[in-house]
Amino acid sequence: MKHFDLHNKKIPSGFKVPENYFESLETRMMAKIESGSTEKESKVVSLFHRKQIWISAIAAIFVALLAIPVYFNSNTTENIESQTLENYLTTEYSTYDLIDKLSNEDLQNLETSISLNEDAVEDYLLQDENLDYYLNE
Amino acid sequence: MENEKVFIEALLNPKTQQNAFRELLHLYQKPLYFHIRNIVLNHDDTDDVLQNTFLKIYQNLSNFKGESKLYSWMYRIATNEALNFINQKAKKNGVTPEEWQNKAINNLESDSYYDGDEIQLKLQKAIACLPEKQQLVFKMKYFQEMKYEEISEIVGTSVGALKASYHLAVKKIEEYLKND
Repeated sequence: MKHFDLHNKKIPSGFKVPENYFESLETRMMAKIESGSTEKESKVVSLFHRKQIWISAIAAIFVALLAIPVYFNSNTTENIESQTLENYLTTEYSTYDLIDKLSNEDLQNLETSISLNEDAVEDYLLQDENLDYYLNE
Repeated sequence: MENEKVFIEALLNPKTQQNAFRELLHLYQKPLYFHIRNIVLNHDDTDDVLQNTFLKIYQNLSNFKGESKLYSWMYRIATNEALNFINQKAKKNGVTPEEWQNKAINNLESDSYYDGDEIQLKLQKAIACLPEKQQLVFKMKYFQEMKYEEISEIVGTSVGALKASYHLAVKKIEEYLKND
């Protein structure tokens, strides 16, 4: 194998150009630049426009994400006011229906939690026709 | 360089811009053409890349800060355009940039604007085996005979590292040509 020296005898790249290529390039390039200055403007606008669409899309998604928890919270029973619930139960439910829905445990809880005013109990009993029956019990 | 400052001012002034740019084209179209041609290999592709390069140079003249020399700034744009061109072509054809380059070398034989003989073609194949940066340094130094200082400004690598890179490239290529 003989030693090869790149610099002993220089190897040219071998690339050629068409005749008058550089002269024509100068003319073509100048024409392109003159028409290109207006093209440049529209390109800037279109790029900005595209950016705007992206920004609005991201903003829309962001708003939608924010709205999701608000929407779901509005549908939970936790937010119903107790007064509204009470009104609903007194008008739509009879006492028996209400008793039906309550378990023994619920009733026991109610019994211990409700404190009765003695005067109110007396008033109630005085109005009741079955007072004698209660007294005999 | 004082002249360059005046020239850049002429390029930025709307009144003198057209003439100054014509002069810039005249001065740099040849070296930039061969710089791009050495990377993309085919004449028509080089023509495309070169036109895009000059268009980019024109559009970005106002952004040229004068921190580097005008020619090294233009060479950087040309290098980026050429490498991007290869990557895009390769991607479009579903091959790697290396495969695209080898295809371009094989097409050189039928290229009417290439008159290389067997050893010149072999040299191209040997260069294609090098890493991208070594290829770039070798082509700029060997074919374009640029100074290390000039290459350093363009590729942003120290002169010492470039020298090492070039010698390594020469060694690998000589080895390739010797054995093949």
